[in-house]
Amino acid sequence: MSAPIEVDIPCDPTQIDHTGLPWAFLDEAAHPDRIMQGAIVITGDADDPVFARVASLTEKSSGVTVHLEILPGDPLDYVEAMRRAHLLTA
Amino acid sequence: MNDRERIDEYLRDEVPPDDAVVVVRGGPIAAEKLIEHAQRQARGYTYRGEPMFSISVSLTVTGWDLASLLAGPLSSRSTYALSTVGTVRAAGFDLLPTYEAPHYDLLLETGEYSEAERLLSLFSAPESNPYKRRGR
Repeated sequence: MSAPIEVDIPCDPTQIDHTGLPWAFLDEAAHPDRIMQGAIVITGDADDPVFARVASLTEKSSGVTVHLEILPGDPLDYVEAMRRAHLLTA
Repeated sequence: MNDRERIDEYLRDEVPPDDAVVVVRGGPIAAEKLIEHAQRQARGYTYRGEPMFSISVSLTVTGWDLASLLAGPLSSRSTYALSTVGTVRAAGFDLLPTYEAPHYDLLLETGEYSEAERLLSLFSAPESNPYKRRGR
């Protein structure tokens, strides 16, 4: 039995703000210490996960806002490319 | 209570016509997801001085058709559902033109489950987004 999908930080990839980027709250992250500028993370949700790059973290009174740059394609596309290049077994 | 941002500062001067514009919501299409997203928005933003329960939608306003929405702002979504501006407005839901077109916020009053279910009943059954394809 496979483990349930756990995204690094949940967000609605269509929920943008004035930056044009989707955003999330840091305290909703599974492991907030992994969420740093430039980090590659899984976001969206377990039903439709996507890769993203953390663009910025901004301290606000409502909490730390994390802006995310959604990366193109399906996460499994990246896995397949890595398999082809033997990066997963190297 | 925290100091949320006022969405009023990010509104465009735009009123989409009832009959011509399609409202597209990216998946997953589920009441639980609408609530989660509306509550996140309300934590961060106010509208007219009150917490802003809303979900993001894309509209086929000038320069955008369904294909360009699915290939653009919704390209990361595996599924989507459709309604019209007239349908959601007639049911009492308002649409705010926020940030850059074609983005809108669809306002909910409470962000509660029954309201999210009522909103979802105004949308089509979920369809697959043909522009999110796994490469082979």
